[in-house]
Amino acid sequence: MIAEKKKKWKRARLLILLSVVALLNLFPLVWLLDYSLLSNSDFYGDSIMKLPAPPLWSNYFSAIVDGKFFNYLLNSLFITGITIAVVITLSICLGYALIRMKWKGSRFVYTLLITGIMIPIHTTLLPNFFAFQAYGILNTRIALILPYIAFSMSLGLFIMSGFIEGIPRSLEEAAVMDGCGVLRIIKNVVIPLSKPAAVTVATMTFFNCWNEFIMAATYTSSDTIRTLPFAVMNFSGKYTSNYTVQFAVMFLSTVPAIIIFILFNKQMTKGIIAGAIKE
Amino acid sequence: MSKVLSNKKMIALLVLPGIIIFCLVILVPIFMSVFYSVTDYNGIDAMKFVGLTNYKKLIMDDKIMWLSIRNVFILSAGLIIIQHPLSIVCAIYVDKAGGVWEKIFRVLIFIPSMTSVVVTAKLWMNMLDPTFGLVNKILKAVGLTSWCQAWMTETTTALIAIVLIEIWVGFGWSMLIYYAGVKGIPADQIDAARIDGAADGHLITKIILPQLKPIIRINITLAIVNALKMMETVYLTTNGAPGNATQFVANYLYVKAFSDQKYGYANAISVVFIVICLIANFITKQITAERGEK
Amino acid sequence: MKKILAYLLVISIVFAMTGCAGETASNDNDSQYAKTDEKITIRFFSNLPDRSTGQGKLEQMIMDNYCKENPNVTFEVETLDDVSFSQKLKAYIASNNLPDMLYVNSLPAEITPLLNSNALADLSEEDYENYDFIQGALDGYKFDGKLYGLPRNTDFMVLYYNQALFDQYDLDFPTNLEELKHCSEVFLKNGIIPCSLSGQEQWPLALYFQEVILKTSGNQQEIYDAVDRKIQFSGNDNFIKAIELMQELTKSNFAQEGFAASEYGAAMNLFTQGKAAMYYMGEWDMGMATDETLPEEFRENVRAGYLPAFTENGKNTDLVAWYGGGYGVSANSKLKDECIKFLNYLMKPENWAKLSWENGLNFPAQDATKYVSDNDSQLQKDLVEILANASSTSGVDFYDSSTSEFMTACMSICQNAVSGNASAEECLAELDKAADTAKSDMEK
Repeated sequence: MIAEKKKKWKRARLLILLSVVALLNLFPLVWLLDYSLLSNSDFYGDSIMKLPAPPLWSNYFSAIVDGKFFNYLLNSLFITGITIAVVITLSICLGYALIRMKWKGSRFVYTLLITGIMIPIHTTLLPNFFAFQAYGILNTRIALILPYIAFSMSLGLFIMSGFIEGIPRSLEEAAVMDGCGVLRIIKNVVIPLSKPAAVTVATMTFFNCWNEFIMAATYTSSDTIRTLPFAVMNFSGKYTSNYTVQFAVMFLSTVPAIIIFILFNKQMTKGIIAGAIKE
Repeated sequence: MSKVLSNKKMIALLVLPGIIIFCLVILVPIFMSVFYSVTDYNGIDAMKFVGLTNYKKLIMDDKIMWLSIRNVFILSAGLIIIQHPLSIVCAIYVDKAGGVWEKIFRVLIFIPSMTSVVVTAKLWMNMLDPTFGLVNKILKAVGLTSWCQAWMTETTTALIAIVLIEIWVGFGWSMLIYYAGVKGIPADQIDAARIDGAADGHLITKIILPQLKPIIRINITLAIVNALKMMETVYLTTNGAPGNATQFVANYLYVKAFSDQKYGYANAISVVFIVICLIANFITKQITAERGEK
Repeated sequence: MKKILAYLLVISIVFAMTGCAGETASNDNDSQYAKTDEKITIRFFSNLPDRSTGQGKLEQMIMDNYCKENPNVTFEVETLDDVSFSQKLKAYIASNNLPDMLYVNSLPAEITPLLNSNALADLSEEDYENYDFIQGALDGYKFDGKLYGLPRNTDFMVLYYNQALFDQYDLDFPTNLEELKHCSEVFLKNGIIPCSLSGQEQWPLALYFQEVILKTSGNQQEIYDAVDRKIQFSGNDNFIKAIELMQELTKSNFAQEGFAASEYGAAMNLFTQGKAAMYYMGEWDMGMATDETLPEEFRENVRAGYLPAFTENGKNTDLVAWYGGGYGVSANSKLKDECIKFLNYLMKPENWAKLSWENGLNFPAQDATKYVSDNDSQLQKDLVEILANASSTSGVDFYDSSTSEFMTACMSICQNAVSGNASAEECLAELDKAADTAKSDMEK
C-alpha cells in the first residue's frame, strides 16, 4: 500500500517536472502568441503577459493579406515536397548501388558523397549564384530544389545505407532466383524493408528545407517563388515598426510545421529511433 | 546473383543522377572557390592571380577570423556541456512517463525546434530587448533587477545570448535523438536493474549512459557540425556586433563576400572553412571512436 | 567510372566558369523584344519590403496605376531590407545580371560598383527639365556628364521630439549641449528615455557619429579629409573631443539601454509609443505624423528640430544631409526603353513628389513647395523649415564616401565609439587603418 502510494507520488513528481520543462521550453512561443493578439502599445507596457481583451484578430488579417501568407505557404509545401520525394528516391538508389552492387570505385564515391554532410552551404552560395545564372535557373523553383536535394542527399544516403546493409542477402538471392532485376529487387525487397529509414530521411529533409533562409534569399527574387521565412522578413527592417503584426506573421509561419509534426509525429519518432539504433 | 549486381548500365542509372547533382551543386562550387581564392576577384574588375596572398593574410593577420573560430568552439562547448546533459535527463524522464503523457511531452518539447530561424531570431531579439523584453521584465519581477542587461550590446552577454538561443532551438532535436537512444535500450536490462533496487542516479550512470554511447557520439558530432555551420541566427540578430565579438565563420564569409565585395578573399575563407570542417569531423571521429573501443 | 566522373567534373567546371565570366550573359540579343502591345514583365528590385505602409506603399501604388494605364506591362518585384538588399545587389553586379530596374543609392560606396561595371543605363537629362528636381539633387547620379539615376528623397538627419512630453515637464527643445543634458536629466528622473537611437543596423549610429563631430567642430570638411588621408583621424582634437562628449552623453543614459543592438523598428516604437522623448533619425520617418496605427496623441505632438551644437564651435543649423536613394535602369536590360518610360512616369512631379508629400510619407528630391498646404502636419512644416534654414549640408556621409569594405568597417567602429565599447583613441586608430586600406584599394 505504502509502496503503491510512493510510486504514485513519484510518478506525479515526474509529470510535474516534465510539465515545468515543457512550459519553460514553450514559454517564448506562448509569449509570442499572446503579443500577436495585442496592440503595438501593449508591447511597450510593463506587464510580462497580458490577457488579450478583446483579441486583435486584425493582426492576423494583415499578416495573411499583406504578408501574402498562403502564397509563401504553398511555395514552401511544393518545394519541400518535391525535395523530399527526390531525396528519398536518390538515397535508396545510391544506397543500393553503393552498398550492394559490385563495381570499382564504389567505396570512393560513397566516401565522396558522405563528405557532403560536412560541407557548409555558405561556401557554395556565391559560386552557385554564378553557376545557376549560367544554367539559367536563377529565380526558379529549381534553384532552390537543386541545392536542397544536394545538401540533404548526403545525410539521406548515410542513413539509408545503414539500413540497406542490414537487409538479409538471402531475400535478394531469392528475388534473383525468381528472375528479378535490380529495379525489381529495389522495388520488392529494399523499399518495403527500409520504410522507417525513408521516414527518417523525410523528416531530416523537411526540417532542412522548410525553414531555410539564406539560400532562398540568394537564389530567388520573386514572391511567387519564395518560401515562408520571407513572410516574416517582409515585416521587418527600415520603415516598419508594427511589431504585433510581425508577431502574428511569426506565429502563423510556425503553425504549419507544428501541424505537420503532430500529424507525422509517430512515424517521425519511429524513424529517428530506428535510425539511432542502427547507428 | 553477382551478374545482376554488376550490371554496369544499371549501376550508372542508379548512381549518375545523384552524382551529377552532387557535382553540380557541391563539388564544382568548391573547385571554383579554390580557383577564386588565389585571385583578387571583386566581381567587377578583371581578376588577377595573387597566389597565396589571401591565405597568408587570412591566417597571419586576420584577427576576426580567429575570433570567429574561437566563437565556434565556445558554441560547441555550450551545446555539449549545457544542452546535452539536460536533454539526456529529459529524454530519460520522457521515456519513463509512458503512455499518453510520453507522447504529449515528446511533442511539446520538440515544438521550438520546428520554428524557423527567422522566427527564433526575431523572437529572441524582442525577448532580449533591454527595455521591454520578456527576459528583463521577468528578472525585474522576481527581484533580480541587478541582473537586467542590455544583452545584445555587451561583448560577453551577446555571445552568451547567442549560445542560449542555440541551446533552446536545438534542445528538441537533441532530446529526440537521445530519446530514440533510450528507447533502443532493451527494457529488460532497465527492469532488471530496477528490481535489484538500483537508485535512479545509479540506473542512469551505470546502465543507461554506457548504452547511449553511440548516440552521444552522433549528437556531439552534430553539435560541432551545427556550431561550425552557424550563420543565420547571427546574421539576423547581431550580425557579429558589438565589434566582431559575436562573429562566426560562416557569417564572416558572407559579409566579406556580399558586403565587402572581396570575393577572392571570401573564397579563401571558404576553402579554409571546409578544411576546418573536415578536420573537425576527423578529430571527433577519432576521439569518440577511441572511447567507444575502451 | 572514375574517368566518367572526371569528365563530368571538367565539363561542368568549364560550363560554370564561362557562365561567371559574364560576357555571354544572354541579354544582348533581340532588343526589339519590347513592342508596345507585347506583354512585358519588368523585374524591379526594391529596398522596401513592406508594401502596405510608407514609401513601399507609394512605390507599389504608382506601379499599379501604371499597369492599369499600360495593360501589357506587369512588374515582378523583388524586395529585401537594406542590408540584404545591398548584399544581393553585389551578387547581381558580380554575375552581370541586374534586374531591369532597381533602387539605386547614389552614395559612392553603393553606386561605384554599379558604375564601374557599366551596369546602369544613362538617362537624358533634358527629359527632366520639368521634373522640379532641386538644384544639385541630380549631381550624385551624374558621372562624366551622364545621368544614371533619379533621386527620390532629400535625406537629412534630425532630432524628432514629442512636444507633449516636453510640455509636461516644462522643458524647451534644447539648443545646446547643456540644455540637452538638462532635458535628459529631467526625463530620466521621470522614467522617460531621453532619446531613442537605433544601432542594430549600425548606419544610424555612424550618421550620429558624423553629426556629433560636425556639431563639435563646426567643420563639415574635416572628416572627409581624414577619409581621403589628407589628415589623420588619430590625434585630431576635434574628433577626440567629439567622441568623448558623445561617450559622456551615452554614459549618462541619454539613449535607451542597449541602443547599440536596438532594431530600427524597436527604437522607433519607443518614441512613437511615448516612452522616449526624442528620436534621432532621418526625415524619411516623417510618416509618423500620419500613420494611423499610432496613437493620435503622439501624432499631434511629434515635432522635429536640429541636433544641438555640442561646443561653441558647432552650429545648430549645420546638417548631415544628402540625396540618397533613387532609381535607375539596368544598361543591359532588354526592356531598357520600357523601364525608362516607367521611371519617367514614376518620378513625374504629380506622381512621386506630390503623392509622397500629400500623404506625408517622405521628403522628395523634387521641389515640393507647391504642394505645401495648411493640411500638412506640423512635423512636415518643421522639416521644411529645418532644411530651409540649414547653414550648410554635408553631402554624402563620410562612411559611404569610400569603398564597401571601408563602409562595413567604419559602421562597426562608429557603433563601438557611440556605445563606449572602445576609447576615442582606439576608434580613431581603427578608422585610420580602415581608411588606409581603402585608399590603397582604390589606387589599385
